Amino acid sequence: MSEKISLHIEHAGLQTSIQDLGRPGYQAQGIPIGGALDRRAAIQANYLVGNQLNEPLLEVTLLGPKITFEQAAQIALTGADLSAQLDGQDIPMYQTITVPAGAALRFGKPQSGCRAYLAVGGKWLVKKWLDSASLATQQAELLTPESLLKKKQRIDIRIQPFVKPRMLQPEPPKTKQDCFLLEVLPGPEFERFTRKDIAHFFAQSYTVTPSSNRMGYRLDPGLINYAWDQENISSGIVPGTIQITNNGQPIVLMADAQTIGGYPRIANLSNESISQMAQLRPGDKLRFRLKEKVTKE
Amino acid sequence: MQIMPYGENALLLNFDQQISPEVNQQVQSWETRIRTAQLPGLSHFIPAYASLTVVFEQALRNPEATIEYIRKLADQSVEQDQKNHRKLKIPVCYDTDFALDQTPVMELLGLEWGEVIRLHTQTIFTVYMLGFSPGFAFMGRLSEALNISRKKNPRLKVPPRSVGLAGAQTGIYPDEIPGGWQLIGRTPIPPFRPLAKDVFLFQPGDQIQFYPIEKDEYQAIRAQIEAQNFDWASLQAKP
Repeated sequence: MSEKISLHIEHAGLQTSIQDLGRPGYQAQGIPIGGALDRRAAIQANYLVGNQLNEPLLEVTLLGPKITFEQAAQIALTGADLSAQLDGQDIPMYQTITVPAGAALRFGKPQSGCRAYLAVGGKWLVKKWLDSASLATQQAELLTPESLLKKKQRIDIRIQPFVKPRMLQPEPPKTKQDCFLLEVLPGPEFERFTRKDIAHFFAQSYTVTPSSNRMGYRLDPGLINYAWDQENISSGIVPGTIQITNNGQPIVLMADAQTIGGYPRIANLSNESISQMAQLRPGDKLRFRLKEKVTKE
Repeated sequence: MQIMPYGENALLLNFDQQISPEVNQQVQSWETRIRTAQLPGLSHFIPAYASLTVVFEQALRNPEATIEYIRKLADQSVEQDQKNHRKLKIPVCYDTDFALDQTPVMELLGLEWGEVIRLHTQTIFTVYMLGFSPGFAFMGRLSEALNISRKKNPRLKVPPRSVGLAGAQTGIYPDEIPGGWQLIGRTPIPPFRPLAKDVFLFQPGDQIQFYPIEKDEYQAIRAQIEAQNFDWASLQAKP
């Protein structure tokens, strides 16, 4: 058995990046936390191949890459169902799969969700910046040159002993719903919104706009007759924060968002809903619902 | 001070909502208190002007209990804070070639240029927070005579290391980014060096004083930085 597995990227797909759990600890210096947008799916994929949960992996967006495995490897796919096939055969998600040397993984039609995660067992030998291989939001070419996949790129992974195959219960398919329901908690400025604005916020159904990305999801339509005339002093931003811009548009801030923001924060997604949001595509419809408080007796 | 849950993984500490060194000092003190208390599962902090975001690795199982715990830390004194803050002296060239807004600044403030330089270099500023762009430090408080509104039409590209004024704040653009601050000079010192060992020049709480340099000195420091023989320790003010 060779020391190393090499992945050969035949083509890169629409937007395939290397991610891990980001750069916690540098937000006081203005560095976005970054990392896998659907953290739950990323952690699950790494678990399935026996990796550290913070190991780099591929975040595959809608149209996937084609990858040849030069040596045998263990892989796992989680998150969006992007019709993955190994040498022309459909492969299951949410379980450990052993890939023979020379096999090719490709993706087909996106069935559900937006981002798939591909973990490969072993230690990824990729360039890190500030302790993370996650694609940097600025000067990415300089700081994380390997983390936005390119045609003909190779990724080397130091091999580890194979794990006994593992399986997880996949998330129930969410495509049947015509409107996704996302749970939120009241945000820091919740109480300062008018009752009318809060009523609209929860009553309305929104569409994910095409200008949504890893920084944030912009939603349409905005709150009706929205006006905010209070002073707002810029404050820290965590992923899942929903801010309302001056024209009433809600923006759900995600992992690559700036660390500080000045718009009022009406609500925050639950962790579960952040993962769900990361799987929505432009055109998807959603509503917000206040998460019930778990009362402890 | 108010403490509230902020999403499932974080708490937000809100102080008196104003931009001032006094309020920001409380933000710094509370960060020190919480850091010292070594709360289990603590991940990181996002200090801002008048708020502190405390982020945990996972969802807080009982946010009310954690809030109560933090409240009780109020008794912990953090005397050594002021002493711990670093003091940095940063050279700025206020030459017309770099002070891209020299004319509007003089007109809006009704001051001679020499007076603008004098006022900007006599105050010791506090770094309130970093953000918006990696390494961008927001500093204050400016003397009242220098308070100025942002430009009506922000620049699409501000030259890197430009020094600007906005409201009662001053700051340095780390990179060529869009921005609306009134530019009064440029420093040869880069605040953000992503590939260096010390990536960030500034930290929240740093005490900063600017001093004026001529263009030839500016060029000399630039040359040293490019040649990687600049003495970074020379920026630390002597105690």
